[in-house]
Amino acid sequence: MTEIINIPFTKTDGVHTLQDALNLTQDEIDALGDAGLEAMKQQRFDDWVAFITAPVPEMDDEIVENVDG
Amino acid sequence: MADRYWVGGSGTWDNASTANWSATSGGASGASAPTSADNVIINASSGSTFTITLGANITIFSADNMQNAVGLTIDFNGYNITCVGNNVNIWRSNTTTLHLGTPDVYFTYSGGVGTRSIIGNTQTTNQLNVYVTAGTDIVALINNYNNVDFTGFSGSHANASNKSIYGNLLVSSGMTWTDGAGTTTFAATSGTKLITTNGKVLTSLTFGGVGGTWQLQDAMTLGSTRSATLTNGTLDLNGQTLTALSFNSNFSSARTIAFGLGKFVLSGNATVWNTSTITNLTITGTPVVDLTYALAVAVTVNPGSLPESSSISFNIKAGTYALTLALGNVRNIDFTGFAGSFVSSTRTIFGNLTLSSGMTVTAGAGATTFAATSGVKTITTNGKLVDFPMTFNGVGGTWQLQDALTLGATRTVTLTNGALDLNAKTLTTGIFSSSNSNVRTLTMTGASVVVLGSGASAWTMATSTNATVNASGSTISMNSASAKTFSGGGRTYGTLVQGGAGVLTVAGSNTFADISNATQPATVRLTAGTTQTVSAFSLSGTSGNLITLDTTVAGTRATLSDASGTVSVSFVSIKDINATGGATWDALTANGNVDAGNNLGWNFSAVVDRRIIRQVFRPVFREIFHPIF
Repeated sequence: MTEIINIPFTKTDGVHTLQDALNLTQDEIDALGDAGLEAMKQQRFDDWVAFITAPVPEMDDEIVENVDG
Repeated sequence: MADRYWVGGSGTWDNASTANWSATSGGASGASAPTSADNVIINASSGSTFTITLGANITIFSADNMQNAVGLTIDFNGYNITCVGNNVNIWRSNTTTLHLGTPDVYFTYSGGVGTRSIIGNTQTTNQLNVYVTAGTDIVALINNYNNVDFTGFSGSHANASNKSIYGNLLVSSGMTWTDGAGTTTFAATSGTKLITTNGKVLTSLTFGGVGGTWQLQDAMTLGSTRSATLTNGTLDLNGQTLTALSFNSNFSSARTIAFGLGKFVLSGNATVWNTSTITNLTITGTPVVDLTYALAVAVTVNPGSLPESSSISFNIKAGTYALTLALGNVRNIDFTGFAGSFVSSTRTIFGNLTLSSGMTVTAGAGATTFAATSGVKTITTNGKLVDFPMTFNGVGGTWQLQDALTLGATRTVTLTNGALDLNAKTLTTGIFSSSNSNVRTLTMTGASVVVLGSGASAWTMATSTNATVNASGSTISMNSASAKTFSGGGRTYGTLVQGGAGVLTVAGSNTFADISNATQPATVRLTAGTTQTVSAFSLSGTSGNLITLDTTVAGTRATLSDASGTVSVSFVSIKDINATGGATWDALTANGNVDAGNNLGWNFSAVVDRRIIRQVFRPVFREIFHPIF
């Protein structure tokens, strides 16, 4: 089984901060290079910021589950 | 080649006696016993209910005409029969023929001409043991057998007919198991039968004997359009890989899949795994199933509601299809290599979840429940939006994020039992809910949580009995533009951030490293009568965009308590807040703050912030007095 390497990173724009990680094989890391890895991190951050700053739709009824047991 | 007809009913078959042999059907006896040059015929004229008892090892050319011998029993009596010929029907039993002793029949033709059909009976006990020891021709097996052994055979096995094997199967490395519609059923009802395929590709198989066990002796591979079925008994992978189009064991009869360290590799589409009915199904070992279908036709995996101890891990290694994990339970599910979509459904995962960066996750209201009861399970989403609810509910289980986890803005993370470790990553969710009395731990150390949802339960740990919260260095941002409530249940948290325009209500008496805001104007509303203990309090608005700090009941105070230092807020309108605990609470009107009434403990004086004074004048004093000292 190919070993997955965890690469934690934090990105912020001063308002929003994402604490994330890339999970890649060594071959993927080698293929991406530093610039590719950085681009992947930035893309993850940009996607996330776009998501959390988008208007939130109406909440579903199922959202709260207070369960004992 | 001459024909020899058995006559006279019961008798002994050896190489010398002529008492039961005739040159014609139903004719007079006295013909010589058949030899390797002769074809044996046993038919309706041979007897009615009769037994032929071997008296020696027999060698004949063939026995191609026994299909009409109703009532025949062959007692092998410690001997065997060898057929050296290559007749079309080299051995052709009546379906009712019975065998006594050990019915070993050898087929030794070594040439490459023709097809040898070996037609067994259809009895469920004492079938022939078939040994095909040579030849490069074609051999067809029809009806029932005990052991089938092709050692030495280098030809092709035709597979047009169904057959049942009650014993072992040994496929030689030099032969070909021709693809065809015939199904091979392993039908033993006792003992452990061995299946050796020597790297040859087989056709569809059914393991179906009540009480039987079949143990793979090497990897088993079925044709790319062929499936494996387990209806009864035990399929023991014995650490080997079974490759097939699909696997079906959707039955309620007693059956066992013994994986050991073996696994299935399934290459098909449609329903590739079906154990939907788990009644009387036992699974042992470390169950792993790889799905390798690489195209776009939808695939369904239906594991059934297997318990944690026997749940199966699925690795989805390729494809652009829509994968449905039908209502059921799995252990690990790993999508590495998958570029299709994971269809929403209700499901339970006892192990790890790994999404691939190239896949999509379909939105839906069906919750995925993580239900491990031991060990640390990992959740890796590789930047994919998880737009379905997640529930963590395993007594004794721990789940650890391997990267940021982002749920849909209307979805809920529910922690019911066990430990959720954010592992210093960002969790984004609509709602976070853990209001119960079960033993559970939320570890947020160094992590951040973004809550996008609104309402009275946006964050709820209102009932925090038996809850442990590890929150050092963490941040919880309540970002909704609608009113939302943080119900902390009296636990200790990191920084609570008012991150959206909607009123943030803080319920319960909690402890925070800080309460701050990332947007203004906004309102932070403390529940009347509660106490929020803080180490810092950094609300700040801007001119014309005040932060409102008040309580849920006008005229009824809430308490802010800080043990030491100076709290200084700016552009905050404060009402019904009792600031206490030992710290100095500055809300200087000179800094844009407003005393909206019924406050205690605040310094609203209209002087410049003492910190600013210190910052401005301390260097001046140092400059003046430093030469003296």
